[in-house]
Amino acid sequence: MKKWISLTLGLICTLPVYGGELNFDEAAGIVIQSGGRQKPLHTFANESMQLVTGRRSVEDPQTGARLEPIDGLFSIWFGKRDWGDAPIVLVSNPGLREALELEHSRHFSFDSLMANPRMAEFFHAISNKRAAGEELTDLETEAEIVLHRMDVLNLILTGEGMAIVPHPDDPSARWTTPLMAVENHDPEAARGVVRKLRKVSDSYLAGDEAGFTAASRDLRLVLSGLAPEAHYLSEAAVGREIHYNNLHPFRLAWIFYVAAFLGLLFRRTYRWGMGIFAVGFALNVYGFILRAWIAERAPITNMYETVVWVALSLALFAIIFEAIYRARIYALCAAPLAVVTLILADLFPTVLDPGINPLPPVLRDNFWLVTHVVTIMLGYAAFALALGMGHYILGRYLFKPETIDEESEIHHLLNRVLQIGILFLALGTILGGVWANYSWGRFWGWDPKETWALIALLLYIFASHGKLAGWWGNFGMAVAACLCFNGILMAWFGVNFVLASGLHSYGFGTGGIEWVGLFVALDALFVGFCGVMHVKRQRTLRAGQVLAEIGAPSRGIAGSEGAQ
Amino acid sequence: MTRNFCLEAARALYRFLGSIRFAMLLLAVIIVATVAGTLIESGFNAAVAQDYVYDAPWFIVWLALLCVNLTVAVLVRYPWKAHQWGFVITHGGIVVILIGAIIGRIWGLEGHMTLHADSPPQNFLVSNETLLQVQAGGERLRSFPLRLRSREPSPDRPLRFNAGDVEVTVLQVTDELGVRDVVEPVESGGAPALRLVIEGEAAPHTIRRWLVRDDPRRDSLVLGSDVIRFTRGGIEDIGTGDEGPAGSRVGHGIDAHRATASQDSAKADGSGEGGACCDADPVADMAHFQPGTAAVPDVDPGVAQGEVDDCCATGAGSLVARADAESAGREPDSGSGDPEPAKAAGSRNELALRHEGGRLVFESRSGSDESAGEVEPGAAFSAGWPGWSFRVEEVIERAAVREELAPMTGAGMRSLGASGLLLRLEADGSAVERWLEMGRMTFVRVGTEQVHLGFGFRLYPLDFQVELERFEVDFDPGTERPAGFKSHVVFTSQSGEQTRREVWMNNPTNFPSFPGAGFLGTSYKFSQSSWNPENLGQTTLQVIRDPGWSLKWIGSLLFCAGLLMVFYLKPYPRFQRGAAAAQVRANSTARPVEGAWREPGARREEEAEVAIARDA
Repeated sequence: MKKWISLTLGLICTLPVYGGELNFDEAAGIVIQSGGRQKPLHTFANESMQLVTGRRSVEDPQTGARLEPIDGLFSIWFGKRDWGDAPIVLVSNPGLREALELEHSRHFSFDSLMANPRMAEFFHAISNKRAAGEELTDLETEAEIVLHRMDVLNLILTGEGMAIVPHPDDPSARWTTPLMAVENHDPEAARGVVRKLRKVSDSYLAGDEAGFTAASRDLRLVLSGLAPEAHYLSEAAVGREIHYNNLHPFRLAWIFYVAAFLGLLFRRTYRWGMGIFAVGFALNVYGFILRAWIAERAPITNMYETVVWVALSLALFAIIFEAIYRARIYALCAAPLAVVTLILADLFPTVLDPGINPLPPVLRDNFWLVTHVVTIMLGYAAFALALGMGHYILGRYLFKPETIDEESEIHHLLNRVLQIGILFLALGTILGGVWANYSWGRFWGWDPKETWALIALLLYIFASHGKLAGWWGNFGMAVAACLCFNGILMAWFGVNFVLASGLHSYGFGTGGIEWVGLFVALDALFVGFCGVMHVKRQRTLRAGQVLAEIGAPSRGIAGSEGAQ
Repeated sequence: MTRNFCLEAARALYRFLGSIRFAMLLLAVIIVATVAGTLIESGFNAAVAQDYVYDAPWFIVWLALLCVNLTVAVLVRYPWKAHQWGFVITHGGIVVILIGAIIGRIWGLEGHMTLHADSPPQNFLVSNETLLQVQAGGERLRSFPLRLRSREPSPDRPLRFNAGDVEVTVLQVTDELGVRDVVEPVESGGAPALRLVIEGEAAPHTIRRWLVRDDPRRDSLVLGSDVIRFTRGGIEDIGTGDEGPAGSRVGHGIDAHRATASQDSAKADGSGEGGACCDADPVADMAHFQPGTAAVPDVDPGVAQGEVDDCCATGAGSLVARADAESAGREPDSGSGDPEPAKAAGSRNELALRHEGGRLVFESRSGSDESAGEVEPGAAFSAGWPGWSFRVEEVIERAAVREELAPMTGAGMRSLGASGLLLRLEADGSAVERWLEMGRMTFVRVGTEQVHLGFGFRLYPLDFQVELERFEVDFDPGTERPAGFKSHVVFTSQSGEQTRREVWMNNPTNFPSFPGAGFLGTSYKFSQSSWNPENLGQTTLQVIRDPGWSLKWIGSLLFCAGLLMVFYLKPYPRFQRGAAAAQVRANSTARPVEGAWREPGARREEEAEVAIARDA
């Protein structure tokens, strides 16, 4: 029996997961200068393969095996296959495929796209328009994306983009490829680099594992010796970044949140659920810290990072409130929302770019920026939690109306979250003004982003004052928690993706509008339906009361009450 | 009786002004208006949204009403009980922010400065506000703000202004104004002029141009390195084409003379043209009001500073400037024009045309080949230039040139690189229509009235000078993406004291500086705004003075602190305990909640008790 187990285990362990059998640990740690910063080849391979193919792996055109990005990068760089002819460049837009008269597929080879006369027309049209400062059409924008993919692939194919030879003294100077190393280094050192690279290439092409590992290490050491230590990405930093790339902490976090949600569904497994929830939260925080460490700044500067931060804050609020109230509903509502946000971040890299890139000047070294974004996103997260609780409450009113009324404790729990939201959103909006005062010179300028943050805040304030005025009660607040979140969605995504105007242009992106719109419409329908059902029920209840007080069980009176 | 009634009415109004119903109305309208504002901005542009919503008088009034509402809501509760302090501080905080905003609006100013590293110090700000200035006869100078981006005038919907005896109507606006030469025969004086047509495979396209003898700007034509000149002398008169092209260049965006004139900003435009500025010509240039010369304060139209010629500056001193960044960003040789005629180096072509006793003769040189001959008007001649063909269409023995402004259309026009307005001026029953160039004073005679006109951005004079010492740009490693830019600026106060400062992204500087200047906002704050990737010696700083800044700060702090108090320090019964409120509502009779709002103390305590009871 034991024998069998050990044999199967041994078999499983020796089974190659991917086509290649080389060990890329050393090669992945070679540092490259790309996109304005130094990063390990591992990151570069992930980013460029993801960009070119839109996938996490690359298909070997000859064997059909799926290559890991780093394997794919070396294969393309060293020309193991005829990659120019391999269908790996993603053309995702159907309209563009039609315009280019391409067959039904999503991936095309570099050579075929280069030879496509319509692509050339697009290229000329785009460069003319760019030179003249004119706006591109939607199709041209898509074509520009494809051209960018081709450019990235071409830079690897030709080796011109492989800037791995550091500059000897200037930390901000452009690095060179090994073949151009002689530009900045003495000929002997430059020849050394080329020789080492040749060894890496030879052993890679020959599939010589030991040789490849040794040659990669040699090359790595030679390269890191060419620049002062202070100017070169440290080995620890390289290891950290590769660890971050491989761990996928945010993916692990949402998987844990899913498990926690299942546990929280039942009162009996509450403790288990919270335990798992806490592990998910810890992973979320760990990933956040790793990212901050790698980027050397607070990772809250683009849409991807804010989405991750909101998931983290949602879980944070849930844990704090659960610690105070042990109400289950906080974690129960926070978990699915955190899952949705993290899945969005995980699965749509073309919309939410996970790359770590240098910031535009206005966002750099700024204490106020960090406090502003952190607080305002805490506000968004609180309102997201309120959105979840609002739906929970409305669901209760709809499906189990006998278990809930205006005086239920759960309304008080919701109001607690709304308070937090109003507090942080108000604080964040004001801090935004303080930041704007430093970077743009003025406190308030009615920029769409700041205006929408204000609108969202005013919506919640309107809802709470409406309740103060007695216009609606606790049920109304639950409805408001659902409806007012549209203001947050608009401030968060809408300004960037729908309006696409104003000064917050570093967050702009495209895509996903239809889905968010669909979600908003369906949700409004649900909320509206709940409202109608609730009002109907209240009327019958009141009619019943009136009847009981009058003591005259007449159908006519009940009917007229109901019609009012 | 009536007195009682009045008192009652006043009380009711006072209560309504502080009521939550009024607050809800105000809030609802503000929400709808700002949503509309962002949609307008997305659909049109920011200026339209500003003019119709955010800066519109009705919106300001609405915010003022909000201010009144909040103030009354706070006052109505006086004397404040302990649990009401949160309410008072929160709502009072918003009032303070709004007051700060109103102060900033009235006494603050916003503008920008575009500085060049090699230019003299600058002592004024350029605002975003466009003005039309009119001074008729001996009357005072009148300024009219124009909002061209949100309200573009057209012949069907003109803008009308009344400047004393003169009625000014803005009929049209163009982004790019151009100059067309109109060559007309005159009775006496004048100089010979001819219209030359150039064709042939070597020419970029058919060129049709007037050449006027003795006019340094119009007597020659420069085509790449080739030169054609209408001259008194012969071929030797042409000179080398390199020493400052006298004539207009063909195939380039901007006329060379114009470019040099705008660089040499200290030079009044008229000085190069024999004092044309004092001419009685209706469109005589008053002065070339470029920043650097046009720093004339708002209050004192009679005094011009800088080196503007006296005769040009009398009358209406300008407080307007054209967008300097716009004109400075244009290079005379942008390379975007037509391709240069191809030729081998060293084979320069020259053509001299001469008018001799009613005959037109040419002398030409192409490389080492020389030729000469007579020109027959209307007939083509090659002049020995390979690939070229010339024809003189028309000759005028005594011609005068009149410059006519019109929207830039391309054909035979020089761009002024500035916007323009088409005005109709009416006085004494006569009317004149004129194009007005941005940033330039224009003198027009309408009937018996003499009118000075100016159109451009409003300038704010400063009592100190600002100079750009150098501009620094850092790039992300290995890229051309800027990582940051920094302006090294020197301030010179009136007493001549110099202060060196650095201004970079997120790090503004205050001048005049004193402890707390940044907090009070009463001095000028210089923030790095933009830069010109094509000219690293140029920077644009945003300059703001906002005396309401301290109130905005304090109000924000109060607001946040008040929220904290409301939510966490003292229980705020209604908002927190919906159930308790519902109970009160159920217990009370007519308009229960409005009543509770009016007499907050008693009810609130009652509710609090209910809430506490429920908690226990």
